[in-house]
Amino acid sequence: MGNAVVVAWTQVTALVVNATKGKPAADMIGVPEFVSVMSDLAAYVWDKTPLFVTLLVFYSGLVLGVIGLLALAERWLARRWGPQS
Amino acid sequence: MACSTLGAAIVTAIVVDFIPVLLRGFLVDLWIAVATAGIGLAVGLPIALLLLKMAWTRPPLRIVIRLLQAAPVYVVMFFLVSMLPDEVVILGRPMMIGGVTVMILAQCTFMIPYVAEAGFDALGRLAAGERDQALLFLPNLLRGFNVVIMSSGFGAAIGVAEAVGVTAREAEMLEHMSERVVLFLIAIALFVSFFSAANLLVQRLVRLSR
Repeated sequence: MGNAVVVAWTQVTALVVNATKGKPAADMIGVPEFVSVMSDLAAYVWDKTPLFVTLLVFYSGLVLGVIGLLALAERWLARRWGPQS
Repeated sequence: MACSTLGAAIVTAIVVDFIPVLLRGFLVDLWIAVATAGIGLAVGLPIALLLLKMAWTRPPLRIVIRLLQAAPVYVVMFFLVSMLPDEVVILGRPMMIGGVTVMILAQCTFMIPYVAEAGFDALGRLAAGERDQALLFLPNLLRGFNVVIMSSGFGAAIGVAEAVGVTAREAEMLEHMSERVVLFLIAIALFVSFFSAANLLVQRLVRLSR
């Protein structure tokens, strides 16, 4: 089981990162996502720049955070179940 | 009997009207993907060359690549829609920035790092004399092209008349659920056929490169 997880880890990482990157698209079907909240807010403010820069930084940070967490998890898995040196 | 014949005739009429609209939408998807691939190659390959030939450029370029990879296309699209002016002047000529342009620029955040990384790998293998491995760049590029076509559906959110958007719009005008299902099935069939053909092409390219 441990080996299976280690071998499949690249695919697991790719799927989780893709899911995180695709999450904002839920806004298209009316899910009250961060994107839709920011778009609603943008309708009421004159200068939209800070709002949309925040949006971009938030999501890029979120994806980088998920990538970082997955890298930590991979190291932990490799220590626990990886090939013994 | 007469009722079902009439129903079938209505569905046929809807389908006949819908297919040209869907194909026009799909052409927009293809145009977005071709333009994105062009920009991706024009920017990504020089980055790959810099990564290979000038080692000191690697740390800053790797940071740029990671940031571009982390930015979700959908969010970048909204960012560009809000930040870009409606019109820009290029070489003294005013040019409108429409939804398709925004979509192409947003997709570049995926395509540029993708080409840069695949190109870096391919150029490195070419330098090492591994021509067969280097040629895998071509099927990889086609895979990237497929991803761009799939992501072009996001353009519906900003009013781009691409295949997903036109299907949703046409479906909204229909009364019955069964008619809507027919439209969505046709759109799905078009995408599935295209991606199946593209995957066969990828497999063939991989075989030829060996």
